[in-house]
Amino acid sequence: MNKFSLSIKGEELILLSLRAVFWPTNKILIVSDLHLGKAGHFRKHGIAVSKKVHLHDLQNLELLIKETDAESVFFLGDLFHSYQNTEWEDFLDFIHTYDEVEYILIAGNHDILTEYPRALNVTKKMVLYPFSFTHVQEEDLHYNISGHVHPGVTVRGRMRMGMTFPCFVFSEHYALLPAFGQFTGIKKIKPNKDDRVFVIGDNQIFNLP
Amino acid sequence: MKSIILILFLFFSYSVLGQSEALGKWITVDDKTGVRKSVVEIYEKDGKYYGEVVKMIYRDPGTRCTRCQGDLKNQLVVGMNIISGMKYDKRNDEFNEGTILNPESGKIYEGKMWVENGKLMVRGYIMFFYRTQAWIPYTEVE
Repeated sequence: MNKFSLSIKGEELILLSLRAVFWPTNKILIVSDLHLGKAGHFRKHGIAVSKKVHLHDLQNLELLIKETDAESVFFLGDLFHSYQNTEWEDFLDFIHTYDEVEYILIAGNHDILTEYPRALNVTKKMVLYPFSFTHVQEEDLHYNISGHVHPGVTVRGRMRMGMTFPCFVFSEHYALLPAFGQFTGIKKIKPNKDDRVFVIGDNQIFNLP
Repeated sequence: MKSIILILFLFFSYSVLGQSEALGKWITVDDKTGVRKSVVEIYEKDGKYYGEVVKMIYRDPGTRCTRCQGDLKNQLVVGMNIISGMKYDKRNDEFNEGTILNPESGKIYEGKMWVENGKLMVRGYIMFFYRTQAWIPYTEVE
């Protein structure tokens, strides 16, 4: 797993190539947009997607918890995709197995379960100085960290061939996290001149100039 | 005389407790990586103790033991006895003289197990060396 350490508002944040951020001061692992159940949703509508996609996501989450020794995991919304299915049950198995970790869901537009499991704390917004955590980017007095957009940038190679990779974006007042789920899709963004963009490709993090 | 009976009683009750403590469901923990892979249920049959994989956790439930030998080859790991034929050894308060199967390598080790600080210690012997895993209790999701 590749890492990149950054200083934001005097706090260290570690970007991890498994599409997560770790905040060492509070031992919080931050991931966004897992979209559990999305693969199942597509399968139901006749599109073949491997049943193991979400298992990889959960195993990556396990690796991240082991690697960072995180005490809490923040899910920045869109944890699951519209409704319950077996992928959701595997997730419950996961948080039950790792019950020494605290799980906080900062609910997003897809998170519409009527009943949440007890082990999952749900809130709309979380503020921990100097950061605020939301699903959709918000302007406030803190440095806002959010998900939602699944940011990606196209890197042009030779022969004008371009490939789009997921990325982290760190602007002056806010940050955008890439989607953690492997089966999620990427939205191309146009970063501002002063934004710092970190691209993830081949399990490596590259700082785009 | 009374104290001897009391001591015997204590010894007896302690060992019975030690025996039953191991029964039930445990989460397996890889000793090298620390990752948790499956739930194994320890049960008793005809005086011997076995450990059956009852489910894989956030891993493919269709995982098969591709490296297993004989009858077990390519069988589903779920439903497999990965601990077999252990006997309870009262004197040492442990289970031994059994075997442990690693469903990933397909190898079978001589091994023993015991409960220590609420964990099930599972040890497999490889020549003069051994590896020990500390399995943690599994409780059903409400």
